[in-house]
Amino acid sequence: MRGDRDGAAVVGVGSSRFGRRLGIPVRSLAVDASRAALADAGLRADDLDAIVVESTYVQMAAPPDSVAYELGHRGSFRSLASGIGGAGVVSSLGLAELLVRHTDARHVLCYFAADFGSATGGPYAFPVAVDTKQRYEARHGWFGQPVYFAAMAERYAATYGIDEESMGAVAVAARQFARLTDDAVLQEELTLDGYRAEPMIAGRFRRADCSIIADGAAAWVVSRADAAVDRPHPPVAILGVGHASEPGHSSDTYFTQRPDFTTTPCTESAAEAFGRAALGPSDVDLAEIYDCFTISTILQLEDAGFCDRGGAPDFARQGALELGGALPTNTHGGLLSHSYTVGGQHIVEAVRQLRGEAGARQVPDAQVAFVAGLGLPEHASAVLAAA
Amino acid sequence: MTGESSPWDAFWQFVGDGSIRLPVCSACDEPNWYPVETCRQCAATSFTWVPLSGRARVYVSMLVHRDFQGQERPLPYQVALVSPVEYDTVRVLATAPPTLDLAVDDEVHIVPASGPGGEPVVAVSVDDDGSAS
Repeated sequence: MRGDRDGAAVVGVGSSRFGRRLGIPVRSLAVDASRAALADAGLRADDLDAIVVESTYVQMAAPPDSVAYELGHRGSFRSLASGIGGAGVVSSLGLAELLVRHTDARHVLCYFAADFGSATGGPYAFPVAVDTKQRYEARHGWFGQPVYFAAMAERYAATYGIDEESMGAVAVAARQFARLTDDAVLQEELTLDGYRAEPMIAGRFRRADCSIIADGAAAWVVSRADAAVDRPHPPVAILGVGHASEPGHSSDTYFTQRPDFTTTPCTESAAEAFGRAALGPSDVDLAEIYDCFTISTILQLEDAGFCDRGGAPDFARQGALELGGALPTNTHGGLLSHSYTVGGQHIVEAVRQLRGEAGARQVPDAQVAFVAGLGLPEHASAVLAAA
Repeated sequence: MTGESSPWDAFWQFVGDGSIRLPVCSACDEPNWYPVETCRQCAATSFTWVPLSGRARVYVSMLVHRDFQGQERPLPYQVALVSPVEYDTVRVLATAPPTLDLAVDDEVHIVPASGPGGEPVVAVSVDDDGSAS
């Protein structure tokens, strides 16, 4: 059955505190967010039949067995990991959907937690252990996510053209939403002039083109449709999830050999998600798109079909991503301005929008949300709908 | 990892000796970049290290204003990805002076050089007048 509402739904969402340096252990952040999500869902820890988390970081940093114990779970449950980075965060929705459709599982907890703001080296600590990074890439200065994504922006600029007003529009829209979101880390006003005054980082990236690095956690509970009713909040249906990976070209090589720097596997994952939902980009009321850098939003807008190739810069410059625009995007401020939960808070925000709980930043009559998570070489997309 | 033998050892040995070479499968002629123990196309384990002319085309190049490695590298620095004319699907990293103006598709020459810590690197060759040679 395609696009049905009889499969799985998000019934609860929650978050921890967010901040640049909270000094709180990752597991505690995960527990805080999970406890909030369970309360939101009207469930107890013992109700959980499975826990699904991101594979490369959270599974080790905040292991499901540990978090479940802290939450008070005393039974058994399935423990699964769902993929890389933001892709793993969003694909947790798909794995949870599979579990509630095809096993006895009724309630599945998913979470993402990180203390990259407090931890030594933050996200830059990961590639130090990679052989090719040590033996080849680092000595040439090919090191750090801003470098890789700035290279994508340079190729995009040479292929399609992009000006600073368009990149600035992505950053400014995110900040506008963050200023309407109480727990967003960045609350200072950002104008286009302010964007232009930001210090340069790499290529054409200014500081405001780059995600903030912060601590925090987000959690969401997925339930089987028949177990999603009579909960405290209306269920948000998971209509379709897609997940795609590129071969080889990203992990060991840190992206240098990717055939095309101007696309991501969002092309495939969004097509799968929309196909399962039996919906298309024109049906979407708001988008929560993995915005580790402004160019990431631009590429995924095109990959997912919201714009033609080369069309996203104009789309952004015309205000489409803002409240009242054609596609309000990252309505909590995203990775650029809200927090660094690698897409977790994107899911939380999509659910709150579809429940009509987003207050001053509420997208009017929000019925369908598109959520995109990037974790090269992977990408996952999800289409969610209001009850 | 470091200290153990690696498919990179031969690459750096050649760079140290003054030539940039890529490993090409002796059985199927497929260039295997980055170097590996086993050909990605035919699984053979013998490679011929083919010297490059050095002529290459810029895939992307940019200035970097922050040192994310914390190695006190002089800032800004420039890093380029270039495709050798002999193997245009392959991309090789190269350093370049920050003052050098490099754009996508520029034709450049890459040469063995020394990195900021004295380690061997590949670099974009610069003429006496400061332009890419």
